[in-house]
Amino acid sequence: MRYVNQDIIKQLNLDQFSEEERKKIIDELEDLLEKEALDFILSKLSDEDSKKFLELLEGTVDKAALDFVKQKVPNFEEELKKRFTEVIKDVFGERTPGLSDLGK
Amino acid sequence: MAEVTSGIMRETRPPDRVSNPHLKDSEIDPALADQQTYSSLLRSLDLARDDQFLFHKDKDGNIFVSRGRREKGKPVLAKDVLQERFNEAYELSLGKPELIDQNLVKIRGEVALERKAIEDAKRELRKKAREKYAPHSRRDKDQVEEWYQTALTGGQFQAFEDQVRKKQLIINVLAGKSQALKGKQERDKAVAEYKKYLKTDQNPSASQLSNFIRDQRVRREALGPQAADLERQRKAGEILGRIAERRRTVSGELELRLRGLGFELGRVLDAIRRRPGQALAAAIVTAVTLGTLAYAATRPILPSEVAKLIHQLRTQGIVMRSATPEPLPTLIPAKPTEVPPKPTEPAKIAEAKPTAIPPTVTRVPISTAVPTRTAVPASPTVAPTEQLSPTATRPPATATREPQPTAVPTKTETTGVALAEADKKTKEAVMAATEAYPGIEGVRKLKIPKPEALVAQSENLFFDDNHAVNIVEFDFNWTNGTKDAATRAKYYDAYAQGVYEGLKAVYDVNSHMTVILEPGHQSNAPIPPSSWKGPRIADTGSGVTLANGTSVSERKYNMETAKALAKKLHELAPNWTVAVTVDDSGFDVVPLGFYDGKMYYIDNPDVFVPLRFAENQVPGKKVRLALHYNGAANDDEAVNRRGGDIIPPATGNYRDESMRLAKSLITQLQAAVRKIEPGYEVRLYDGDEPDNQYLITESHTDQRADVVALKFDSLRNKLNRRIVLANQPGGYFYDKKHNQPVQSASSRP
Repeated sequence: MRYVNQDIIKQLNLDQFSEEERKKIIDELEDLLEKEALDFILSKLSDEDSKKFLELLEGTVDKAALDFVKQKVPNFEEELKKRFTEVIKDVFGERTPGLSDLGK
Repeated sequence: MAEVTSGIMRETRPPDRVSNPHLKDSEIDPALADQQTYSSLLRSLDLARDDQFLFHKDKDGNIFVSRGRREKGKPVLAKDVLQERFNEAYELSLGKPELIDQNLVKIRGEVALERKAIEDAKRELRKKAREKYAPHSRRDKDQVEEWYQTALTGGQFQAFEDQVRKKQLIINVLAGKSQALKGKQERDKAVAEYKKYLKTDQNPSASQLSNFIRDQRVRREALGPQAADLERQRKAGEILGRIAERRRTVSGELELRLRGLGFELGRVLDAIRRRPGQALAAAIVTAVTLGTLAYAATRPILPSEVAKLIHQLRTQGIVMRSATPEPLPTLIPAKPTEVPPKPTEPAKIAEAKPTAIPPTVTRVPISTAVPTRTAVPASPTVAPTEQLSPTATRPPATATREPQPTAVPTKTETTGVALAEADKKTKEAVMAATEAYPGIEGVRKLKIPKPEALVAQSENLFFDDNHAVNIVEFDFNWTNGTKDAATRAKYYDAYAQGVYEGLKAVYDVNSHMTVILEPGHQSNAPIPPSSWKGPRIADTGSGVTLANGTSVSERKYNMETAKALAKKLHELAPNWTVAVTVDDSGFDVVPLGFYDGKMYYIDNPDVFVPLRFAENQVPGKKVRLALHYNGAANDDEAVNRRGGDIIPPATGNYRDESMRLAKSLITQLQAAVRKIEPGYEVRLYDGDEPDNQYLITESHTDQRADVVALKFDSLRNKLNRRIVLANQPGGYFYDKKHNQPVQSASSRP
């Protein structure tokens, strides 16, 4: 569980699951979100900028890659948040907006 | 395994659909069907290759694959794992859906873990490759790549991934089997219960109905913790499945992007993970948190009181959900086209009743002698129960019918509802629930018809599936999904025209028939690795990248397609009932949908009682068409290969009819689409992949056997008109013996 904290576990209703199930879900979710984040960033950058970003990511300067993305992608964190919201809705069954929790 | 396999095959060698997929049902001993299904699975697994692979489990039960005969601990042969699975699957197939569910959860968990193990192992391999050939120069990079690719294609990964894919087939089959068995069990129980009431009293009292509902609740509650546990496991399995599905899509796209840039996915992810404090990782943490909280904010918070009421509704009766569909901006006008109910009834009806049914139900007399409760779907735009259509049913032959005009046709007649007090509470609960969900335009209790209404249906009420043609699957050229909305709309029109012409060539256009469009099925087949040189597994569930660069899941396009087709078909053939099943979420739910420009969602299994009742009221042929995009994202090969593939069921009672329909569809669809795309080709697949296609089709057929979907308009304007007016002058009832609706002679004006 690299990223997910207890609040999120509650928000996602993951506390209904056993510890083992929860761990599985979170691990898999984190792996997915990393890829979604990368995909999102690369989809916003030109090829040239993408290469630069990836080189910075593999480099040693801690904030260089993030600063670069922020500079190139307007509202980066806001947009990434939207993408994640979409992913989480998809994964946690919000196929029918506003309805999926009815009666569950 | 060899013994088991050969044992099964010795037993099942007689008329064998696996070796001859064209066999008709009548030529196969039904008792052997399950064995043949699993024999086919056993063969498809090609177990001989498994010896070279080993799984091993760690102390937490995680399963890993490794090479060699011995590892630390006690390695488990893949072959043995699969043997165990099949033994269980085979045993469980004999009629215990809850055990099948347990098995499903286990296999799904394994598949998720194994996929993760594959990805981890690939990363490890990549790391080793880098260590071996430090990437200081382009030449070294090439060596790394070559070494890595050789290792990947050397057998172990390819075969293991193949094995995971095949496990998915097992999951599909088991899930379909489980669903079918559950449906049968529920049916049997409900039939028994209803028959009991039918026998004891054709006009049961309120207390009897209350008792019935209470018994149902007690029975559910008796399932207790075991059911809850299974339900929880099922949910976890679903979530893991959706994560895996989405990850396959994004991984495929990401790998291609990175490859084009000269980078490799594992290495980039390593770069992020090596330093958890790294700024990008921190940004992800922030986004995850914010995204999650934003997501949580969109979810309706369930007040405990409302939750209780909802629970009560769901256990005592039926809650129907309704929702506004996803918008289809350029395909469906803002205001759904209202096709007025035409007086053109089925030919037989016309014969029976020379005077046409009025197009709208106005001043409908309704019997007060026989108060009834009939399935009435809710309209999301119409407010609660007060405005439901008036309902009535065919009365017992001896019932006295006293016509009583209804002042306003759309005003609900709640008089005569046996459980008046219960209804009042229900109504209050429904209203409370609706208020608690601002996004929901209506939540109503779908009323169960009174048992006397079922008298006329008697024996064939629950078992008459014989008027439905099995699925003809039509796989669209998925590249249309990448086109803009206006272009997609043209294709949809062409498809609908082709489907209409195709059906028309087989069936009488003026007769009533129900066309059920099934948007597709969720495929769990993994996207093959980039090194894979064989045929691609193109199926729904993967992503589509639009011309503007937006990625969406094919499921959305499948729904868009189905809805657009439903609308167009409805325009072309207003006599037909066109319905769309509302989900393609696999096998765990039995979704039902009505189409009238909006979608209705019902997910309570109890609903099958009134809906089965309802379906039987609509005469005529039922055709189920599975229509969906197929294709793997960014797969140029698949794009070029695929036009439209029609796959009739390899088996089933209506295979011959489906084949006729398929052939007709080929011609008509091709002609229609070629008007906008000259080179468009539609192909017929008939058993070219007997094992796989057979299994998939079979499980679909099993699953859909209980799916009933009727168009809302039909229920309101056709079905209800017949049922509602059954006991009124000019009304109709359903003649079971002659399988048609007829006008009641005694009630003719």
